Amino acid sequence: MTSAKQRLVIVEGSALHLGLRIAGALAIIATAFALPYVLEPFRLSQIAGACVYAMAVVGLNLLAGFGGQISLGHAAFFGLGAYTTGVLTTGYGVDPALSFLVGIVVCFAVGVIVAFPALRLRGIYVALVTLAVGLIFPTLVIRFADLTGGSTGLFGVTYQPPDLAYFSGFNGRVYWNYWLAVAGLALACLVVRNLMNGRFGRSVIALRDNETAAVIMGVNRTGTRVVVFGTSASIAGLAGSLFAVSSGLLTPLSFSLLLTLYFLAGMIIGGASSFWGPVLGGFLIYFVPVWSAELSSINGSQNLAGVVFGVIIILITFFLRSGLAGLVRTLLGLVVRVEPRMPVAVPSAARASLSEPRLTERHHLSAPADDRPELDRSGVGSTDAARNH
Amino acid sequence: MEFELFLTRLVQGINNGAIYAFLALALVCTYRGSKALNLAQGELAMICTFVSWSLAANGVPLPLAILGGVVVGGLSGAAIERTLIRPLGRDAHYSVLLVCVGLFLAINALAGFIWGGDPQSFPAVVPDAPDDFVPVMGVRLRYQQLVILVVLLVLVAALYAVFRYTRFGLSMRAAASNPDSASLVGVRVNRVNAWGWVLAGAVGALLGPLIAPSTTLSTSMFFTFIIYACAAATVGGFDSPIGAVIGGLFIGVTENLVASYVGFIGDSLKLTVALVILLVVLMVKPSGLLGTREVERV
Amino acid sequence: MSLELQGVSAGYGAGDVLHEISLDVRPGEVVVILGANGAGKTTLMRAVSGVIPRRGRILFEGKDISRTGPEQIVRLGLAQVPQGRGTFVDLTVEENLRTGALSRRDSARVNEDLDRWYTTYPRLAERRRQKAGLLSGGEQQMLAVSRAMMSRPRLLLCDEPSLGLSPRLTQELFASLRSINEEWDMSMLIVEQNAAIALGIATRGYLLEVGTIARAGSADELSDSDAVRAAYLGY
Ligand SMILES: Nc1ncnc2c1ncn2[C@@H]1O[C@H](COP(=O)(O)OP(=O)(O)OP(=O)(O)O)[C@@H](O)[C@H]1O
Ligand SMILES: [Mg+2]
Repeated sequence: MTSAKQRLVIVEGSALHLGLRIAGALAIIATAFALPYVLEPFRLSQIAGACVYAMAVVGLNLLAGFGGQISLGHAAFFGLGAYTTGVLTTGYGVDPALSFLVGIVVCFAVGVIVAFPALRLRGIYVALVTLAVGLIFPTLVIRFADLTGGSTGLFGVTYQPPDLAYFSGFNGRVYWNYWLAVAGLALACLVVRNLMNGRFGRSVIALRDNETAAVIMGVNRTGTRVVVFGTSASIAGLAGSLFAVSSGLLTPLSFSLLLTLYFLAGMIIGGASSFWGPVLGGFLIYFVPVWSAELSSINGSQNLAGVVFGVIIILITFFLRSGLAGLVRTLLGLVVRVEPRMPVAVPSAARASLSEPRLTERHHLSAPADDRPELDRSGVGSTDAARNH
Repeated sequence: MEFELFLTRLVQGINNGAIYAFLALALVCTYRGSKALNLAQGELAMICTFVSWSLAANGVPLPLAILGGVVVGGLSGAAIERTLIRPLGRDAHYSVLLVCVGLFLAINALAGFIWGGDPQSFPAVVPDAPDDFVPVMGVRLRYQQLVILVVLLVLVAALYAVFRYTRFGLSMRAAASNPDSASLVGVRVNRVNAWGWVLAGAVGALLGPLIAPSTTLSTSMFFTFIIYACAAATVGGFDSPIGAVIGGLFIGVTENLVASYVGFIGDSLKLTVALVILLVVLMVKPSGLLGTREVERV
Repeated sequence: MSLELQGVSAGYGAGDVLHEISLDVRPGEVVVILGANGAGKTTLMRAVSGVIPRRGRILFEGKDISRTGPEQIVRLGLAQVPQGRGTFVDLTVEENLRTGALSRRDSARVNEDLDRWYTTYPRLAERRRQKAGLLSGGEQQMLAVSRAMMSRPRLLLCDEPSLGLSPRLTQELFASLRSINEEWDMSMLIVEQNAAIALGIATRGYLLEVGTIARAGSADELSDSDAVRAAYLGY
């Protein structure tokens, strides 16, 4: 372990700390603006697709990472948003923007409905509820074929770009879908960040880490869980809506259990309970299959992506419970150290308490009964590294 | 005529239900000891069926080829328990589920990688030509389907007898009921749980070759069956083998009758019927018909 | 020596609960361990029977068992009645008793022993086909003692056998523990809150305070000690 002296020390809230954070944000924004000029259009639409997946993963992370409630049905919320937009715009001539809103509301409502049975159950039974809901969705799409196009699919979902010079060129539609996806992803990240960086976020973490203690401390279990479920579902739903307008074609098969498992894979690989890990994970689950199909022409090579994801999920569950985000944080922690503004003498027990939600990220993967400190230790670095966002 | 039609549908339901029950039995075997919902159970069965198919395609007599697959299934079960489940410790529902998700993706893709994405036809153990059936009251009981049903009943009877009347069975039940006390009376709890995985792997590997002649052999052959199996195990109670069989048959028969007689549902919502039953059971009695109630901590 | 602990420490990961405990139980002796809630009595029992990892030396009949697992230890002849009884609630009473004999090889004599415990506790015989979870607390305690005895141990660890029992049932239970001790010449290590009754059948005792032995002595010495009287005997 490098000693504190050799590390660059940054005081939290200092000009340097603030400056670095602003610089980071600016770099991201600059990249977003630069990409349309440097990438070929088909690459740009791939980025848009990855942003949409990343959004869904960010939504799932709110429920399964921060909330500690695994969901085996998130593809259904994604699909529900997609079909809401698809059906409303193609069938009823509704403005796509309005259909996004309807999708968000519908997904929130369904999320809340699913949250209630899940509230009373624990362990595998929660997973079973979400599994059932997730699988019912495609069957309903097929059953109500006159509305949804059934197994053949729903064609021609689009969102006409606004009348701006920027979007008027040959690739205007690609740019427009790209910006929709980028804006959606940014919105999702901001919503999750704001929710988790406050009182509400502390309640969510407290419920995940020790439900009984949290309830005794006055956390509103039902309210919190229901809002988390609903918000998570509506983020996935908005991602689905954006997927619908950018892909143009919806089939029930696109929203199968496999998609849910890929979302889970993205969350775990990127880093559950982290803010930017799921974004990374979302990009990975989109691009790894694309690359492995492009790189090799062996028959069945796209299967390699599945093998890789499966193995990585298992490895991460064992050795790197905070995923890539945690790994990066640990590595950064070796060179940079972010200190709290005033290192006053706070008893360590009190500091590790619920008053500082970011500290508890170490326990990210733990469902209430699954608290295994000895494994957590291996995943993430020391607390000072954990503070470094 | 009406009645004959009803009987045909009932028999169809029982045939499907037997398959659900079979796979649910495997789920129960792992759940009892490790409290793990092995989502990858179907995929494990699928890849073992491919192993049997490869053996048969290379000239091994079919029964031996199936036995080979069953052995591979049992060994893989043991290996998974030993290396991926046991180290996570008891009550690690979340992590275990994630590992099973990982296994699901990995095994499914691995099979696709090795054997390709095209469905293969699988030879039947008994004659399976269109006229290979026993007519009973105008209903055709196909040999292949009878075989599944008989094997299922023999299997569950054997399991019941082992659980009920042998020392090994008593150890298994004690370990499932209270692992701490079980180790205090000398039960090697880990070893007993590993046997649960061995059984599950073998049961799944036996089911694959029995259904493959009609479903064809493909990497997705178990996608819906595993869902039905979850529903069946939930209805029967996740730790009860007999419950799994009752649950499987109940779901098979109900979905078939509902699909036939309720026009609104039709064939396309068959799976939905099973899933709705699953949800209702979870809300009304999560422990199922015959399962033991878990002690609630909150 | 039946059981001998030399500098045994143990805990649950976060830190040690027991610090360098040394004690012994001679053949045929009944030794009682007194201590407040949370003193580490149950932890001590778990350390001895191998349920939790521990350091130091634990000798059972001269053999070091400090690295042996619980399944093996019970085969060596050391059985435990866990705190809270550890009943297999969804097994029948008889099946519960039979689990006690799972560590034995001589199945033929198991039935003899079953009858023996049914005679000692007729209430168990009446309910032999019932689910054990339906038994009353006292009946479950009898079941737990009989189940441990079904392995024919030479040393019995009992963790708070009186927990949740009425004073009369407690009396009965200790009377039967005493007769087991005399009839089978079995050594016993008993954790008990009810100091008066436990010291009544014990030869010696230890007082455990926050994970260390605070006092040791014969039953009479402990009964006379002011510390024990004030804290556990209430006079
Ligand atoms: N499973 C566990 N995990 C972590 N700490 C534990 C565990 N069990 C007990 N402890 C802690 O170890 C200490 C000693 O507990 P122990 O159960 O040995 O006490 P005891 O003397 O048996 O008390 P009682 O009379 O209430 O049964 C306590 O502080 C307790 O909080
Ligand atoms: Mg105790």
